[in-house]
Amino acid sequence: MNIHKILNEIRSGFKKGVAISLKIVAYTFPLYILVDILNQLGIIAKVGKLFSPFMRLIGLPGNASIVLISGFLLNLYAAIAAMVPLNLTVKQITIIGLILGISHNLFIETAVLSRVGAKGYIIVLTRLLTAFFAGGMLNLLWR
Amino acid sequence: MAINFLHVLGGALYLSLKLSAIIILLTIAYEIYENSKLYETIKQLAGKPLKKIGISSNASVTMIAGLLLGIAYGSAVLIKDSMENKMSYTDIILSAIFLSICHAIIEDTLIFVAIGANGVILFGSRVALALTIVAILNKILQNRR
Repeated sequence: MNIHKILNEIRSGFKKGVAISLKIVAYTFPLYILVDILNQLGIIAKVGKLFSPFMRLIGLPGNASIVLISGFLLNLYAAIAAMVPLNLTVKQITIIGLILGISHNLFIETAVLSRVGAKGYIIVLTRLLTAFFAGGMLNLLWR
Repeated sequence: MAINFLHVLGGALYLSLKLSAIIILLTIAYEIYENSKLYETIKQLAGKPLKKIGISSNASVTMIAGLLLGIAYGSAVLIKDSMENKMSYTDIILSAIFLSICHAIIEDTLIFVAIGANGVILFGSRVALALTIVAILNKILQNRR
């Protein structure tokens, strides 16, 4: 072990971390502001009402549909930016975390994965089914 | 209805700083981990359970990369390995499905824990589900051969 090597690793890790953070903050910051404002204007509640019968099956309020959609189409950081202004419970956050952990960023990740020869629709279907199954089970089991 | 813009901006700033702190700590930890002996040890340890569900040890290198780092890196290795014909077709499909369900588990779990989720449940269920589904698919593919 030498100190010099570790310091170099910390420095290079820090630089990479800052670069990645900037890319991520570039959309979490505006998205958080957008969702918080839409939420305060009551627009999210209206969209949520449309989805609420379906969302109730997995233990989530209709509002959270906007979070799932952000996560499926964009990524987890976008979903988190959309979720924080909604003030959800620990159980609801964990259910969303499980669903979105399994199934997120579907366009880009499926494009990447299908380059190795796996069929895109199979990957998307497996992920979505697994995700909603997991979310539904967690909702039932968490008392 | 009046919107408190200062409050909105503060919330956005707080979330951004929290996420940045997690990301920076993770990249530093990974940088150290990648250059250490632990890397090889974990690679070998993880190879055994993955073999049981039908993924060969060649593929396990890819799996670990993807599990810890995320799909972009994991699939880069996956594409490289499949182009070099290191993996069978079944290996590739099973790895792709496994990775699609379960990747970047450390990063994903941490960012959700940062906003209040239960990390043990998130981490455990994803790994368990991915292993189960790949094991089932492996059985189905074996029967077809």
